[in-house]
Amino acid sequence: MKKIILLTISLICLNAVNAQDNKNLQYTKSEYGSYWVTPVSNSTKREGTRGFPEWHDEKYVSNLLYSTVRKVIPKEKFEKLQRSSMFFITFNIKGEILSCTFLLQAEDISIVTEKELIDIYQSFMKKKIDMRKVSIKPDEYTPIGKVVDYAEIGGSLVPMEYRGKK
Amino acid sequence: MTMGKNVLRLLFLILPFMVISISCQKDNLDEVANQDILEARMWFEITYSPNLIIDSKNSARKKAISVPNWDHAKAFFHKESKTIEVPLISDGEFGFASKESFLAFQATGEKRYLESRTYLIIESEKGNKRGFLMTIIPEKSFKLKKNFEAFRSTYRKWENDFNGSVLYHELDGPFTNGWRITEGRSTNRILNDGENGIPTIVSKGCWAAYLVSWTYTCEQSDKGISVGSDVIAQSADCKYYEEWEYLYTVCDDDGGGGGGSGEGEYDPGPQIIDAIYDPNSTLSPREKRRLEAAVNEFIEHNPIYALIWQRLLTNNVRLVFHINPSIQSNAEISGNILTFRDIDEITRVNVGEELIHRAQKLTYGEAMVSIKRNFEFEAKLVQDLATLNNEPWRSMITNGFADPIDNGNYIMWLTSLWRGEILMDASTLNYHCNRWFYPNPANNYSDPNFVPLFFIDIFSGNNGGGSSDDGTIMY
Repeated sequence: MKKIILLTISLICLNAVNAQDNKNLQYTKSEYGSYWVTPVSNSTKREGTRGFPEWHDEKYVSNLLYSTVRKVIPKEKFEKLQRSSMFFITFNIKGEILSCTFLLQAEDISIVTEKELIDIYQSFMKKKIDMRKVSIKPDEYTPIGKVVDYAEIGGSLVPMEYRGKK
Repeated sequence: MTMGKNVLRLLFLILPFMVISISCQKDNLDEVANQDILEARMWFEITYSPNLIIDSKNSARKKAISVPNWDHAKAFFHKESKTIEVPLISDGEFGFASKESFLAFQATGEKRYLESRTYLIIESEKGNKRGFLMTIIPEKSFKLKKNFEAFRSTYRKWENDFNGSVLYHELDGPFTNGWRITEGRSTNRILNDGENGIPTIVSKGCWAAYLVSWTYTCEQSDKGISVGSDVIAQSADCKYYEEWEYLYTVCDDDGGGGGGSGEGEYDPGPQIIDAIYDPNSTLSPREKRRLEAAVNEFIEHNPIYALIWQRLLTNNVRLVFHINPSIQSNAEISGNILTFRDIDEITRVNVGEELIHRAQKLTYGEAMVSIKRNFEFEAKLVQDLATLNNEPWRSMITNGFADPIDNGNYIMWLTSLWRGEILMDASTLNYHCNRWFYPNPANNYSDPNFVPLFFIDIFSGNNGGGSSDDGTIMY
């Protein structure tokens, strides 16, 4: 019993250390030092079976997402940000964006503001992907006969032209 | 006198044998030709759709659909090959004409100025067959000189005084190449302009060529009309399309004249896939073209993939490609046999993954068995890491994590590898692999002691990353 209480207390403490809760964003530190940053209002509509996104027009998807990133984050910041700071979105077969999460390297926490992350999130959530240019296919993990419902894609928060070896 | 009589007698004796011999030779030749035509027809009907489509520059408003008229097929023998040339029966008429011919048609109403001829060509060389479409477009001056009997040229055997162009198309439509022929000799290459429209800057020695492409199609015509025929079905449903457009770029050729490429032949260009394509493969030309495109995309996608491709070439890997609708997965490789479920599965992702498996085999040899899940995980990890720099990015692995926490941990580990802040260590890889669900084949297992030699080899000391002095593997 004593062990259970100690374990519970230590888990609560660990969570307090790792999670930096802001008003709109929740920060969860990983064992590698980087953070998962999730909007508090993030949708959790990711129900159903995950499929594999197949591009029919890869540039379209890239432009759709990076037009927002470029609009929100100032150029100067792209040169400072780590290329391994990323965003991830899920979208369904109608092209609706269901969720958006960020992975930020520790040194980038002080570079990207909360407002910028929220702006990207809100902008993504308003977008609709043209599903003539992307499709969600069953993949090798999909049980036979099962219909797929959504897929996940991601990308560096740093557009290609600003990426160094960071 | 006696001598003369003897000669005459001899002649009378020999003559019937000569006549019989020549006749037999002709019969034999006819028989050989008929046999060749029959073989070509069988090959064509097995390999291709019965309908041929011709598209002047891959964007024509109306594509002409034709079928070969085998009753008029002819065989021709070349130095190292033989060709079967088959005129087409079309659902209307179509053709190409030069500007001069088009203007002459407009001025006189003489339709023969617009005529070109398209043939199905099946060429056999050293037991291999290939098919393509050849279109002969005589110049106006040549048509006038020949009183419009301007179509006596055959593949690579141009009339001595022929002036005009020859265009080659694949059997499902796309343009491959062409030649300007002057006085029976090929003088200039004709290139496709790609999808960029009229080039604003034409390189030295090249100029834009305009041709009229036209089609005359009867939607409900109950019988076809031979191309070039003067007989045109009269029907309210017939439609005439005419497009005066830039088609190709014509360039001065280096060589020209006889021999080699100077003969004005069909030339689809070097195929990158040929470097690993085993002749025992059974892909149709269309499937092979799809494979060529997928491999090209794979190599160009990122430097790691280019390196893997190079490794296959260096080790002289040859693969036999098949389509088999009954396989369980979209694509699979067994030894040197790569099978796709159908043509739609010949994609960069599927081709890439199987090529990675083949490259893994170079590292692990016979120790690589499909039931050990680690090889599959390693191949997908290579793809996940190699493509992280691409945008947008999608994981080959994360759909296999049932628990979102495992998914998140994997992404964190992957991005840390990408950053170069941690080294690949086998135990972490095996930890993730162990938590990863992979259904194929059944009863697969994760070996906790697996060492990812292929991964380490590929990502260290190559053009996608490098090793620092302290031995850190950088990505």
